[in-house]
Amino acid sequence: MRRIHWMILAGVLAAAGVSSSCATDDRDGEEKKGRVTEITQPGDALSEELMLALSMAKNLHHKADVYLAEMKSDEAAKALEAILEIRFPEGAPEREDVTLDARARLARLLASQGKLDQALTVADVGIKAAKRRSFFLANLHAVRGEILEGRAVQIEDKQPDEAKTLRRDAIKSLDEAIQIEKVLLDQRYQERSR
Amino acid sequence: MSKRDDFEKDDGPATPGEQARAEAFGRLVDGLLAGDALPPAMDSEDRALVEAATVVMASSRAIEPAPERTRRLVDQALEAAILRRSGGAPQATDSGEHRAESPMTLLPPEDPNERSVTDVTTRRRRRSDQVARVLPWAVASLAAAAAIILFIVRPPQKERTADETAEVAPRAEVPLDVINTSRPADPLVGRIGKADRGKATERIDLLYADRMAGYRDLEFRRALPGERAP
Repeated sequence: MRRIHWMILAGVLAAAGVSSSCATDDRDGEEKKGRVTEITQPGDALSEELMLALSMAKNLHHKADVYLAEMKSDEAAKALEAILEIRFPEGAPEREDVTLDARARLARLLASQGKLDQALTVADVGIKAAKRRSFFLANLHAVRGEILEGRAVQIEDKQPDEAKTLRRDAIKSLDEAIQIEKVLLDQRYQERSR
Repeated sequence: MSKRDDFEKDDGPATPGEQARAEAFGRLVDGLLAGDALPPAMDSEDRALVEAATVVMASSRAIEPAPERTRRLVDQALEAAILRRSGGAPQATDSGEHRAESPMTLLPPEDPNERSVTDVTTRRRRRSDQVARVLPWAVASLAAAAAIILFIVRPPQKERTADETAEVAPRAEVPLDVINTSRPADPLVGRIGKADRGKATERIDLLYADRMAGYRDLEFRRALPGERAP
């Protein structure tokens, strides 16, 4: 019995030694991989990480489509929320575009469920976090305007004054969307005229 | 009526049955004298007769056991004596009391030519016992030493310099076109009208396909510098 104990102790010690050595090797391998990526993909080159993030967003949109086809709007909303959690490469412009589009879709879905406050929050957070004017941002402004319009209709009978305020806010949001689109269209024309 | 009464009453010549019984009894007594065990079930009178016959035979002549039994007894005595000597049995006193009783006096201890087969077998068994006792310690010590050595000699963590990092970069640097870069999706998607607001899946499909084309072109040119993807 004592021999078995000693054999077990020997095995544990050997395993500990080997694993500590192997762990060092693994860390080295990871370091090499990361540095290779840094050197060969500087700046704004398309990277594997970006492609993976885009692929995840694409699959989650399709997943939401399937849930909606089965009338499972809660699950579809969860799939769209998961897009907002995708980790994109630092500074990738696609990140903002993809998340703004996901927010617009999620806000419309929540509004269709009658969760207007929640939908408005989703849109507001996206608009506040945006760093540049884009068609995606304009789209989110327009979605916000639609949500406000829907809310105004919802409370029109009981709170007519509040409904008027909401309609004005809706018009502001739609104006913001139009303004962004106008600027971007002007830029396009300028680029083409060069 | 007991067998003894029959025997006393009948003084005539022995019948074949009596002779057969006498022969069987004789074989039993001979077997006992040769070292065999008593049969498990015996008549009480037969048992008394056997004991009486054994006593008579023992007092009348010297008993010599069978040669095989003699050899077995001697081997057992030698093995016991050797084990007692190697296993820390009580040493012989000055008076030689133990020495006189011990069977070791029969064999000169240091003469290898005189050793019996039993002696060699015992030594082998003792050696294997010693190895079995030492082996776990040896394995444990080796494993501990290996673990310590692996822990000590593992390479230190150090930051690589830019030159060292450049050496491990396996792929070639290639000039980047616009399609190979991460960039806003506006030019690709264009204005999102009211009718297109629900078509987010189509937009992400378009964006992914466009970026994948640029990424494949970049990877192709990195793998084969100077070539262009079709």
